[in-house]
Amino acid sequence: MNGEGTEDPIVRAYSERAEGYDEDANLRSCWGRVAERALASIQLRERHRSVVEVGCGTARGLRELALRSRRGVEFTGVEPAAGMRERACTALQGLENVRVLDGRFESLPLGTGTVDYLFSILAFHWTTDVERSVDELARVLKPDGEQDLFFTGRDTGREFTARTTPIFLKYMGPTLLLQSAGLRKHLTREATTRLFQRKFSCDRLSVEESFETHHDDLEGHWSWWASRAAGHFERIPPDKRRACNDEIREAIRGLAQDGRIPYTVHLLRVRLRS
Amino acid sequence: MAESDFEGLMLEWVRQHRLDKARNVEIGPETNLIETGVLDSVAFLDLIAYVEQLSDRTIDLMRVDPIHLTSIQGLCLHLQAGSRT
Repeated sequence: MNGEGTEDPIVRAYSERAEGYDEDANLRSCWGRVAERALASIQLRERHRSVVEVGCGTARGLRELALRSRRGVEFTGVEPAAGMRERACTALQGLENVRVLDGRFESLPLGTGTVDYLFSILAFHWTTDVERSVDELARVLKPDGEQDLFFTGRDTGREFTARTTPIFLKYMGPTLLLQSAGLRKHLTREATTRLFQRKFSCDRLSVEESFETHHDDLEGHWSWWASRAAGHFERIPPDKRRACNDEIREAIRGLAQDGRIPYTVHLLRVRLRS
Repeated sequence: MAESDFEGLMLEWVRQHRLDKARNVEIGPETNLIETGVLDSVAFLDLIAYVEQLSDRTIDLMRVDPIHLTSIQGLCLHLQAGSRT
């Protein structure tokens, strides 16, 4: 299974909106800042010769790492959204040691035991099958391979979810609403630990979590919401989408405290060290 | 497990996990848990996971009558109907 030809609405939405992904509004949003910080925390080690990013998007992070790494390191980006891959390939022109492949966590297009270091920033929560994805990670990493996965946890966006659920119920009905909510995995730290301990030894594995509330105005939040939520709500009939959006905007506006609207990012980091 | 036990356990779970803003909502088996703001969509998925664990069955959202999907009584009815097939 790869990203092409699948009916995954999330992959489709990211692919269709790839062009605006690196725009300032997105990079300045809470997600842009979280991703930037996660990337800055990654330190490649001498023995990391084969480095993989899963869900590399437009390859901003991969490019930066490749530019600041020493010679002899081979980088691979794995990305299911065709639109994102296209932009990634353009961004990586001239970097001979970087390639981008079609694939996803559930089916990594990589050989068994071939990866020294694997990382992923804000992508694992989109997997459709968490167990299978962890099996794949364990398969492709070398026995002493290392990894850092940053992804959103159960309580991300809890303010928005509580406020918008009744509106989406009205426009989508309960079945579509719950299916849509299930497109993102809502893992707690405890569930994440159990999940990864199935395949990785406890003494090499750690799972950390953080909660950070970002404040922005309505347009600031809307700039990322409109693109990231598109895959969730594409089954709202087009003639109702505008009214739904209007109600959602009002609901989010109602969260403002001193003109700033809070949005909490619950971030999980799964770290594997040798 | 008896049906009344299921219902009681689910009620208890919902009372423990309801959203703060719904602290004063009276919760019964027929309460529409989403419409009343007792649970949001993510919390409702947690409830379904809890029910699956209790019943040792997987709940396929597409196979649940939407009328049954948002209340404890509805989910119990769905489980009963499933156990008869």
